[in-house]
Amino acid sequence: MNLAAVTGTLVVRYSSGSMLLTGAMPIEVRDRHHALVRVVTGPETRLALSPGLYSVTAILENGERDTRVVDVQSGRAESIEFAVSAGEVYLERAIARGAPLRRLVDAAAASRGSATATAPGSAFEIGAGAAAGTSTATASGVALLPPGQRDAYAIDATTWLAASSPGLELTREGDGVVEIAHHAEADEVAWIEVLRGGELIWLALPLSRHSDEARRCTLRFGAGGAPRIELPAARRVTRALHGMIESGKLGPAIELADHSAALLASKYQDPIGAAYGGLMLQRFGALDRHADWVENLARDFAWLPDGQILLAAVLARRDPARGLAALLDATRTPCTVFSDAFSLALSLLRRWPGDDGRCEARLAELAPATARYDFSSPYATLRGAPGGR
Amino acid sequence: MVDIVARVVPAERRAGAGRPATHALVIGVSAYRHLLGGPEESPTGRAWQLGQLSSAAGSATAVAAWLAAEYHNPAAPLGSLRVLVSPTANDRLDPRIAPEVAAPEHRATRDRVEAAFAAFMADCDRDVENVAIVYVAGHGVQLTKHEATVLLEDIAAPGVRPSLRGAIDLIQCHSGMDHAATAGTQFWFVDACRQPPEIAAAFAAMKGAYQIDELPGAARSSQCFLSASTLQQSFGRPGGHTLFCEALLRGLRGAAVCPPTPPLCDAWHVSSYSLSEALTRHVADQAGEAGEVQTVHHFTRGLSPQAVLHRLPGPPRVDLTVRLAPPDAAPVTTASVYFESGSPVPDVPVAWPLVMQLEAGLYSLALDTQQPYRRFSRPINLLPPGVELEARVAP
Repeated sequence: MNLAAVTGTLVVRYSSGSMLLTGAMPIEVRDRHHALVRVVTGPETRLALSPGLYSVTAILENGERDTRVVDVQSGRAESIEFAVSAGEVYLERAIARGAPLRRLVDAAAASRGSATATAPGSAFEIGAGAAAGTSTATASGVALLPPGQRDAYAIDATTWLAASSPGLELTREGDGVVEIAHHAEADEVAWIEVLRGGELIWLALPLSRHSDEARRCTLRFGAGGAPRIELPAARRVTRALHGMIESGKLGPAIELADHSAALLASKYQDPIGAAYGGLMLQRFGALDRHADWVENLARDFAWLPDGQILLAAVLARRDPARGLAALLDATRTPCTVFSDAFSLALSLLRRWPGDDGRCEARLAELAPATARYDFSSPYATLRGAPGGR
Repeated sequence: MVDIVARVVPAERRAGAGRPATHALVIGVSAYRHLLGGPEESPTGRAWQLGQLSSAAGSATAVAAWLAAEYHNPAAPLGSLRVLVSPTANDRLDPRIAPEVAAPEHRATRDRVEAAFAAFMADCDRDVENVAIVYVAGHGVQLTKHEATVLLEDIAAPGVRPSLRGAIDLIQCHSGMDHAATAGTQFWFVDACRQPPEIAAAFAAMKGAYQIDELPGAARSSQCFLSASTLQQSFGRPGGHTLFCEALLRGLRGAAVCPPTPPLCDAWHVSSYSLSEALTRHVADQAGEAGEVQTVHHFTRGLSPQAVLHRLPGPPRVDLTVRLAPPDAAPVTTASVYFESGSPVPDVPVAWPLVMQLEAGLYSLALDTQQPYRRFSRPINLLPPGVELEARVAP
């Protein structure tokens, strides 16, 4: 029998701007009974199949699942290609051309005739009688602005830029849309504070100075809840991880994190992405076998508390003394990048083996911030400034 | 006895003596004796500003009913089903379960939960091939993204110390059962109505919630799904089920069903991964429609991040709905459905919209029609929970 005459050929292509994604994302081929025929990876695979209908499913860069049905016919080749689409948001965003945003802290300082203050944490004083989480300085800052100038500080009708970490350039691209560029050379967690509906919200940003792609992100403020943070298309692996986790596609996410976390830290110089991958591995019990690169992440990017917390998790049983030191160092403030990291830190503090009282004391110090923490947001988000009362 | 398995599951569907079994513990607390609106409001209960719920107990009985009637695991059939509920008059209890849990011994107080948990763990410890399923719904205190303490019926009892004696630290219990000498596969569902931050902060310093010992080693796979709503109003529909329970049952009955995927599972099944995706999507969508934020956090312990919760006895039958566009073409348009080329599926309805149930699979749909309309054909990927599509025959 001539097999070629009775089978057809299915060509499956997966193209991504990331070789890592192309190599790590599994593509499932199933027959008409939905029985699994093959799982393939890589940019192109050719399969000889009996004629009939097949479904082919891939996870795309944005974390979404795409399933196609193809009719394989005898002696013919059918092709399927999974690729980023020109019409989608994967394309590099144009350099921000909108209006630069000003910080209310500058306006408040100017109104007092003092120099601009942009100290870490909040630059504001919580006035007597002010509600928890609000700032009289920001409220008075807005009130002091002549109506014609308020747009320069407004992100949308109810949201104002209050303050930010040093070296951030913020540009309003549209109603509720802010492009952020990180120009600072110091290593620290980037953050912004916004005044929204009368409430001060502190938000960590997934930015670092270590690569061009890692210096930019976009914030979108919707009707409610924490703003969405979008990463540039070039941060493909981190974007893909984030998209998969947020939509609950854990299988591919864990697979990708397993392959990519170490590379994100070393080769791609994206310690934020590496830390996110590490947090996902820890969440699903798979971090221990990556102890080596966790050590490297914590050592090479010591400023990143999320990495120190991951190290503490790995060392909790292996080297508790060193792990505790890392944990206590990382939790001097609640200012991690990811809420998963702060959550992990609290759990470790709560259950550290043989705690001599230092963990309990640290938990007590963090209690006011913990009470204002928004765990529904993937990024560290506090209602009211981290140091506020 | 709070184990109702012998009363609600026929013997032929229960685990045989000495064989691996699934052991389930289901708890739902809507009625809080000492909180606001309870029959014995205490000063502490009033201070906490926590009131009665209306869907936690009903949701627990719905989950228990699914376990009794639909859960399928040939390697570990249901061996025990312990149910403790504290319902209010607004709870809609499943009619199959309600008569079995009416006695006071089924109330979800600290002492009864502690006793039931101990018996549940003893059953789980009999065989590492056992499966453990835990579902708990009620007022919750979420201290971190991945921690939850659920309050029991007798929380805030006057004069009782420590303050959290009437509560269970579920995530600690999840951690405590992650060891090598107990049920190797575990599924934990924590359906908690989360408190406002200022109240949660007060709870952070309290002690006394039920916890268990932590032993060395790890289970094969222990999954935890934690859903904490932002506000009580979105926790559940009064007299109905919680959003999380709705999503869970919807997932188990179709939305999370996936085809055989060796080596994980050779049968149609619900896995931890597919359940996570279905729960994440449905809970977020339903809460969003109510203008609230509710998220599902899924995390694991044990050696493997993936496990199978439920296996279907065979391929599922799936609803197919085809609407015709434009509707005017209905009198002159007929549909054929093919599973294998040349062999149409019999008994395709002639009425529009076409509604039929088929075994999950890949099909071809072909519409024959008359001028001025055009023939239509396309493949159909028929998977649970169902497929609805529009067939356009417009010229």
